[in-house]
Amino acid sequence: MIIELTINGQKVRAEVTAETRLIDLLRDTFHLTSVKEGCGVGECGACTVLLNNDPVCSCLTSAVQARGTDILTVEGLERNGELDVIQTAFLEHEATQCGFCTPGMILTAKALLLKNPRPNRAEIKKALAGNLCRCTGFVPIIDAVLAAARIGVASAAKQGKEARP
Amino acid sequence: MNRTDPLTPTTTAALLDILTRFPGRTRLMAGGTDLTPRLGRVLTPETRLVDLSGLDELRGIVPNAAEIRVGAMETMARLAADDLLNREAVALAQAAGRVGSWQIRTRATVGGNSANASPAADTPPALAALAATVHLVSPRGQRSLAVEDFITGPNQSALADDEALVEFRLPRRPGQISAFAKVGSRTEMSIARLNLAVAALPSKGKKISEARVFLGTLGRAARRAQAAERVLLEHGLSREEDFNRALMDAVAEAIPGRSTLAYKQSAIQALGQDVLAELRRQARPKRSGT
Repeated sequence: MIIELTINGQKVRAEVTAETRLIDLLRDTFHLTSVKEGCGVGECGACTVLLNNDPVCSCLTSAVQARGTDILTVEGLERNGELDVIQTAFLEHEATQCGFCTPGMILTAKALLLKNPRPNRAEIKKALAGNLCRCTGFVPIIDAVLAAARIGVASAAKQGKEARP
Repeated sequence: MNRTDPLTPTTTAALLDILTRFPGRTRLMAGGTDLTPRLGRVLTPETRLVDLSGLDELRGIVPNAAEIRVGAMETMARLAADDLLNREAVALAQAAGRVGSWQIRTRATVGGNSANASPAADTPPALAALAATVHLVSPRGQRSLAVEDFITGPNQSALADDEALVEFRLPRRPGQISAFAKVGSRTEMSIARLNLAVAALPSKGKKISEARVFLGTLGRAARRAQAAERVLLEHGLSREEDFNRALMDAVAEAIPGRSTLAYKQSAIQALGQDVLAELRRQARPKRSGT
């Protein structure tokens, strides 16, 4: 059957069957290969994408259930060639080694900062608990998310000041 | 329409029509977190996948005077964050908040958790402690069952192959306190190795007039521990040792000879301690102005 949904801000249509998973749709139909399949059973979080601003494992989400939703992948984070503040923080804090967990980590962090712009370390750990990393030991990732949060809050405050007459 | 297309009913009437037209040949998908990895194995050329996500009638956490109705399609994330449940059905909100990870909680549903009936499921013992009933519909009519009767064994429920679980109903008991605790191999993103849910009605003088204690993971999802309930009824919330001993006996009764028995008898004491402490906290009179 044909479904319609929005992916990275673009309205799209796609053919899906009962067995099509969201990860299959994103990688195979739309070539959004930032979405990685790590375990296929929803335990590692590498396949995380945002669905209506909430993190989901795309390996566990049936494509048909994504109809009418708004999906965000890492490809959708760049704005006019500029990296999202979270992506920049990951680079600056060496929060990426092999990179396989990174897209999922960045998107879960994105969802967190959308809901809670000032998370503490414990809140970051809880939010990222569904994203496993075998390389970094997690600490640089948490540092990166904290740094991205601080930059985000500072930037929002600055914009607020500039907007005032 | 291709026979491999999922079916996407938007009303209960349409769902019943599907259950009539494809008797015994449907797989219902709620959040999909249990079903999706198995889909290739359970779908046959004759089976139709029925996507329940279009059924708004199966959503809502709605109180009336007597009960709170929780739609089967409500997610763990919504249950954990719900203000009403966090006041009146704390064990359920706590259980939902301990399922999986944020990603899982965004999709996993309370209906799917009971229908899948994994012995390690977290919401069934909480629902049973809160005396919840499940409501099932089929082309043959409707029926309701206590949650602990709906779960009939490991990965076994009373759901007939032409039935759908549409709603839970939790009786509202003014003053009811409840708590849930779980231990797994990690603090998050962990299947329960042991879980416990208790609901109680405090009465005058630190007494308990009603208590329901349910254990999960011991071969099936919601086993009642009546001896532990009697400790609370006789002694209130302060006799931790006696309560824990009753829980340990319940564990031994449920899984004699299992290699995990010693571990679970040890761990249940920690859960018993945590749950009693949480219940005592809830039972403390609220100071005005807080």
